Amino acid sequence: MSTFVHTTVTAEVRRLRATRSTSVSLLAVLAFTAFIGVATVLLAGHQENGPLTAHNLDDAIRAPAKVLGFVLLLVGVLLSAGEHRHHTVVPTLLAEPRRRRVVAAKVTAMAGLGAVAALAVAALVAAVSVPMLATHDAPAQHLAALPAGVLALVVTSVGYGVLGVALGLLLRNQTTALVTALVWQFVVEGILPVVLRAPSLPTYLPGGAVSSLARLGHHTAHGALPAWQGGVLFTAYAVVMVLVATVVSVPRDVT
Amino acid sequence: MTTITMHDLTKRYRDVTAVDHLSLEVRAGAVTGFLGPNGAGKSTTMRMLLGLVRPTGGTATFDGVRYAALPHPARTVGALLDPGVFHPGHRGRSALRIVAAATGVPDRRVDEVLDVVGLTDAARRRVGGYSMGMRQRLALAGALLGDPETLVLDEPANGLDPEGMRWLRGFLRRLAGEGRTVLVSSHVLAELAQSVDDVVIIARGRLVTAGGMSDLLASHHQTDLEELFLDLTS
Repeated sequence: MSTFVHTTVTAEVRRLRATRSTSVSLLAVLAFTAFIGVATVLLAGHQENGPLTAHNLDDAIRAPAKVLGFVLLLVGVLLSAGEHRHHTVVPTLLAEPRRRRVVAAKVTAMAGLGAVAALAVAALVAAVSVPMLATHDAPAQHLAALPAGVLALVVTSVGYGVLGVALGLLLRNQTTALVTALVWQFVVEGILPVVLRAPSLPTYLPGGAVSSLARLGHHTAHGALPAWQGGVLFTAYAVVMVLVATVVSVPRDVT
Repeated sequence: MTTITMHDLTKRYRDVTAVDHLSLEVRAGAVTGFLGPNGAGKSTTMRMLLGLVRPTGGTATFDGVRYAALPHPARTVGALLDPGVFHPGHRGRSALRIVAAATGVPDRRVDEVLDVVGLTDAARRRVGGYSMGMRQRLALAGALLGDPETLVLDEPANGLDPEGMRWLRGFLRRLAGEGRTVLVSSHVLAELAQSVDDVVIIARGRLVTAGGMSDLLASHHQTDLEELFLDLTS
């Protein structure tokens, strides 16, 4: 196990760090998602938004979940499908021909990146929001709400990153994988319930599960799952996708 | 001292047979030239040997062990299959550090192999800005990272300038002199003739001939490798 972490996972972490587009897009999204969180606090009490309360910090930390998650999904795709685009899959599989280990290393590295990114965003949002909320309410109440929001953000970020790795492994073509992710996120999840005449379906799709987890969907007509159920459902999607991607990708020839 | 053995190795892609019941042995302490016309199945054979392509039938082993079953595969066998196997946005050193981590060799080895292939000065440049010859040298550095006993090189002379080719020739001879096993494919037959001890020629996925180069030339009444190759494959 320690050898696996020391070699294959380290290689994937180095790959993430060495890829400029990954670093730049992550830094940009960290800044943007932190802004979303801070804006949630700043806009409380204005227009139709509710007043500033102790719950706002929790909401502020959960608010960037989908944006951060989606960027991590794309980074996950680059980490797996990008290997085929740039043919780096050849030295990767020569160094570690046991392909399940390579899949596990990519999933581990991406899960780690997702967790670190989520914690960084949560810390940034909290650093700006707590002093502002403290002027309106008791600080202890804000901090008590913190762990659940942070956990939701971590689960979302890790899950999306892992889904991206699985999607890239499954499709191999980087452009196809990126387009599929975009189409699924912005088209399929909206159209599928209409086509299938199942208005409650969105709640049970990956995007709906994240909305439940991040409490972003409780205003919709068809309601949402409890946050923990959303988290379990989303995690199940990620796990199943990784298993399917492993079964499909491991026996493939690398030509 | 590692011997490469292929036994009845076969690869079919639907109706196309890329490699057809190929059996051969590559000995240690020699440079073995692996020759064949375009589409003969050389690259597919090398990829099956290295576990990248799954054989339809037969086996390819290093001292009787499949590549994927070797305890430290990249430290036992170094391979160069394609010069374009590094991300163009990565710097030369960073690209090798990724492979070094996966191979389980220390980072100082990266600087050693960069020095061996003459890329120390270009180590901080992005791979996208490398010439074809520099990419080839970087790929060769990747193959050498684990200081392997066996080298499998597919067209390593591609893109090298005359000085690079001369360097490669001397390098391959030195490796064989150290008792390592070197299997190298090339289209540059005149160049290859100056480096190889043994020759394996395949065509349409099948073995045409194999043996010591001087023995093959004598038995086919030829004076150079190119004539021998054309005689047997055309």
